Amino acid sequence: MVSFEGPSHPEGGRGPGPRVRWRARGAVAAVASVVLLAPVTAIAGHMGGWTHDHSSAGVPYRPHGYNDIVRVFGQPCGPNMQGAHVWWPHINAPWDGGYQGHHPYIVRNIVHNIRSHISAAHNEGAWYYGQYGGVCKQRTGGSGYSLHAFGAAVDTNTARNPYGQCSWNGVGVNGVAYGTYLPNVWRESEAGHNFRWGRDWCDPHHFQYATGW
Amino acid sequence: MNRTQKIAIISPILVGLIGAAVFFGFVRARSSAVGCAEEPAVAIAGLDSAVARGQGMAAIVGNKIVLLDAVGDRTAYAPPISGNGVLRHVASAAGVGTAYVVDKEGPDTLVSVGSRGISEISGEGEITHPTLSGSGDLVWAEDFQTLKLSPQGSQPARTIARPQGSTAVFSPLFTGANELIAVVQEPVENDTGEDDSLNNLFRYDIESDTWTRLTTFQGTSENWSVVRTPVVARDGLVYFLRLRGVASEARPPSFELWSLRDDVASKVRDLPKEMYLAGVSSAGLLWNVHDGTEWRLFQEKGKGLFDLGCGAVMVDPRAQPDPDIPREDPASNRRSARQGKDAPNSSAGLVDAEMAIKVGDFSTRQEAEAVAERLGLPGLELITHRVAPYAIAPGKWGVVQRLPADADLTLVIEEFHRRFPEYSNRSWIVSLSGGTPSG
Repeated sequence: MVSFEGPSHPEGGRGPGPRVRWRARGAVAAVASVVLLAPVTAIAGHMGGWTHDHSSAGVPYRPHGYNDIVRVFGQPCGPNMQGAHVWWPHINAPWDGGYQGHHPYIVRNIVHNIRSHISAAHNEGAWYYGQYGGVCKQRTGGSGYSLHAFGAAVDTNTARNPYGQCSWNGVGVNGVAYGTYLPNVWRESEAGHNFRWGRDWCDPHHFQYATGW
Repeated sequence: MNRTQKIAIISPILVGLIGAAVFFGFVRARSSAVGCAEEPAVAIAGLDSAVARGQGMAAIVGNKIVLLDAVGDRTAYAPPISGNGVLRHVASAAGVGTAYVVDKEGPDTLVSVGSRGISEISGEGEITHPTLSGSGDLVWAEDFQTLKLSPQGSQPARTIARPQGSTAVFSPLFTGANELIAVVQEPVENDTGEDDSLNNLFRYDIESDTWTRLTTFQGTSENWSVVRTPVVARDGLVYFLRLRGVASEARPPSFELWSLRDDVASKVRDLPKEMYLAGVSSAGLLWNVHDGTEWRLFQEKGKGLFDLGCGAVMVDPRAQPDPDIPREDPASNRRSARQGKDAPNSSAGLVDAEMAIKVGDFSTRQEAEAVAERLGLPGLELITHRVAPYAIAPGKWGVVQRLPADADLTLVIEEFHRRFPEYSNRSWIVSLSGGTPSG
């Protein structure tokens, strides 16, 4: 058995050390915030060692309509709703990290094309709490389940982007205004990662890997 | 059609009545059929049709309105107005007419068909849950934010604000000459608002414009409790569903049948599966159950459920995609060009995503090593946050087994859970990328 070990990731902890280090990197983040106005692909240009995974496994087929969603993701509130998980630095509050569960079908896309993309671009300060993944819930007033119940949707930066707000507040955990940098990485318009952005129906923190539901 | 003809007609929702068989056990469906046979429309649902007379229970099957008579015989009609939308939510009232929603990309349309005319009401947003009263009033929910009341089909409709402090309102129902009940969503802590966590029933007095709470269900973002599909029988007894679930648990919520009489809510029984009320007939409750492909109607009779065939009443279409969320993001017209520029960085199959199964999290290395021993699989590794920051929390240990680049991650984790059920709540697919290599 091979074993890896070492101290916690410097950006991952909640103590004063990491916070100070993060603030010390403010200048880097500020520069990055200027870059946010440039196309995502330009940012990707200085991410040595990291590349997109736009293969069919990295960006798989995105289902359309309820029956197609069930065919791809299985029944809602099923065991795969949280069959994969990812650790994020800000889940419940700034620097209050935790796991977000997802369906395994989209975890390559979430980790490699989105989380790693933003990390490699040194833009992790763009994230903000709270974040949610797979949860078993019904849609408001509906006779059916939310896409979160399939593990096919992600909410991020909800504290600054509540449901019902029809615009995106891109101020990240470091106080820098990133504009629509984060949504552009998630969605299909820029990086091709194919998540559908809920801002179109005034749910700006919501990104879903399906349409027609 | 002139303006006079466009006056809406309306009336009390479902057919018959009677009451309320209260059962304590559910039963089987008479038919196990899946899918819907094509039902040719006999006519357009015009002013002289049974649809305009509300003659039978109305249901939606694809792009048609189907009327079911007292013995379950079906007649299909083409809707007089449908545009390019999806038909959703229908109500009928004997002697008055039928109302249905045309769900479109953007604001929806509400259509009512009665002996006095066909009315087309353009909403300002999502229209849901139309209901007809016996005196010709029409009420519906708009964007889940307000109710709209159109007395005798008059326009403009009166806006009814939801109860103070609430966050949504839907499923209105006439329960008297001057009153409605509706399902009201209430705020809970740490709720994102896009999904339901807590609902209660409220009564609305039309004359005094006041709301009164009828139920006092409690719920949180994690342990949620919502109300669905209230229906009223002729004797005034209201039936509704209460759904309860645990957000973080991968198991379906419970479905319960409740009743409300004299403002007292009481549980009638547990339901065996996901099912929604469709109405009350002289024989008993009517249900909508999804068969995996289509919504079907069932008549509860005695201790049995009898299949009436395809049809949806107050349930959302599943066979047709929601037109409000089309495939393409309206702002995505640059996608093709951008993807072309990304191509040098995105060659299919060249990226090793370093996917793995993780069992965790453990507070000490010793715990992780002990679990690795018990698993007894080849190639197991121990990880920490430094080497796999996306896979494990700081200060914790995990046991991982790397997966082939072409692994079907869904099948892999399902198989792992089958093989090691004792770890099914402690194992996930993770990515080992993003860390600092270390020996």
